[in-house]
Amino acid sequence: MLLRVTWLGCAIAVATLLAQSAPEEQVAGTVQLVKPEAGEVVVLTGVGHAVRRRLFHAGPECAITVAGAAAQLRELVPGAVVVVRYRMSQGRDEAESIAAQSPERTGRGG
Amino acid sequence: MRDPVASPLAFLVPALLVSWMGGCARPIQPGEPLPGLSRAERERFDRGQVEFERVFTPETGLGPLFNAEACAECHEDPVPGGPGDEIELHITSFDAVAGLCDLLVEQGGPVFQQKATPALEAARGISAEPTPAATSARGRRSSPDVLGFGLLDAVPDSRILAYADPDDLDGDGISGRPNHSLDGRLGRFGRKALVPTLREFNEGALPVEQGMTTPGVPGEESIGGEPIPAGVDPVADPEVDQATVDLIDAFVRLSAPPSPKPFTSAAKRGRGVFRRIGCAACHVPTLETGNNPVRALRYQRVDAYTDLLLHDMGPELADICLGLALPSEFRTEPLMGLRLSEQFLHDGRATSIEEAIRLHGGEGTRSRDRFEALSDRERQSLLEFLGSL
Repeated sequence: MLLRVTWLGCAIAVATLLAQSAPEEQVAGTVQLVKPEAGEVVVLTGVGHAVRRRLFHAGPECAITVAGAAAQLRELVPGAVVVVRYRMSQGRDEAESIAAQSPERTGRGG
Repeated sequence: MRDPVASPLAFLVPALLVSWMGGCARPIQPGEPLPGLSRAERERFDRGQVEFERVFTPETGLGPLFNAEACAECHEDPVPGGPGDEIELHITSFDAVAGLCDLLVEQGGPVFQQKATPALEAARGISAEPTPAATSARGRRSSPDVLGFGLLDAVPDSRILAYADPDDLDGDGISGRPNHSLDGRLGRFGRKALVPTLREFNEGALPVEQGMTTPGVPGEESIGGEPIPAGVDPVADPEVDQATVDLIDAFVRLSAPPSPKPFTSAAKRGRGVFRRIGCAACHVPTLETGNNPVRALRYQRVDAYTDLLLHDMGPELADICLGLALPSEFRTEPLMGLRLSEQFLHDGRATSIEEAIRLHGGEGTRSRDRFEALSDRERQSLLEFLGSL
């Protein structure tokens, strides 16, 4: 039993380390949808007319700003242009920060 | 034998020749590269043209949904990069109350693909992308020529924004509004000016028009929002490598806009009419490029006849929203190379330049009415001028 717990602890530690060492990436796009209760935000990104939908998880540690001021996830509105810094963690894109340029809709892309 | 060095003509003739050549530069024919390319740039232009004309198949990455098998299938006449007669379909949904444009990404995105590979047809029984069920607007899009687009790309944002007057503060009835890409940059390419750079315009066309994934867009288009059935798209992503994307971009970027035909006296009169009746307020005759890594694109004048901004063209022409562009707003169409086209306006509904002018509404109404009021001689002069571009 002790051996199992030790192995489990090691596995969690390694997974945590791997998650932390995943490179941070950044993407800019337009907010399409915000789900505050689920801690999720959907952002549209595009290369030319090829538009893609990106789902980010925004946990309690995610730093959200709107026009430079600290904000809550629910204050992000569809159409707002945002820059998301994120890491891949546990199979999903975990947002570390989300910065909206303006409190108003600037993208209309939602 | 006379010593040529001793003859004054030996100096005079080359000097006159150089002077004549400078004053009467050889007209650029459709399909030629920009003048003044380095040997390496010219080589990339030539290699890029090969890729632009390359026909892809399902075995080399085409599809499973697509509109064309090659760039040059649509941008083709009379040369690769010229306009084409293909009409495609764009679909979005505009919520006028919320002021939001839904790009219908969950249902396949704004560009509708009209063809399917045999494998997709066999797996799903469809020969085209399913049309969105949501209430949506549809816009037909003709295939423009892309000759000279490198020069448009090289125009600084500040130059374009200098023409913007979104609230019509100068009261001339012409606004000019910038569109922005999804990440907030100034847009300039596409009929609704959603796309900020030529590189993105070119690379983004590969997935949406040919179903080819690229390093910048490594994921396939969906099948009307549904994932691609297993086994119908066997080529690993990205299906086009960076080198190929770069070559296609080089071909388009380094293509020259064709020189206008020599202006007849009537065309010269028409050029004056063009300004006098207000066409030049949106179709700004000349833009200047800024600093650029490519010498042939650096600090050049380009007779593009566009301000690259959005203008309200009235309810009759309205179709889809895109980014900030409202259904009735379109980017001023560049008129360089206009003589190569056989169908006009964003959707090709006009079969002549004259018909296209008569269909202008919204901010173009005043100029259209002035066109109608011209004498036959003036109207023909204007049409001759436009047909020379």
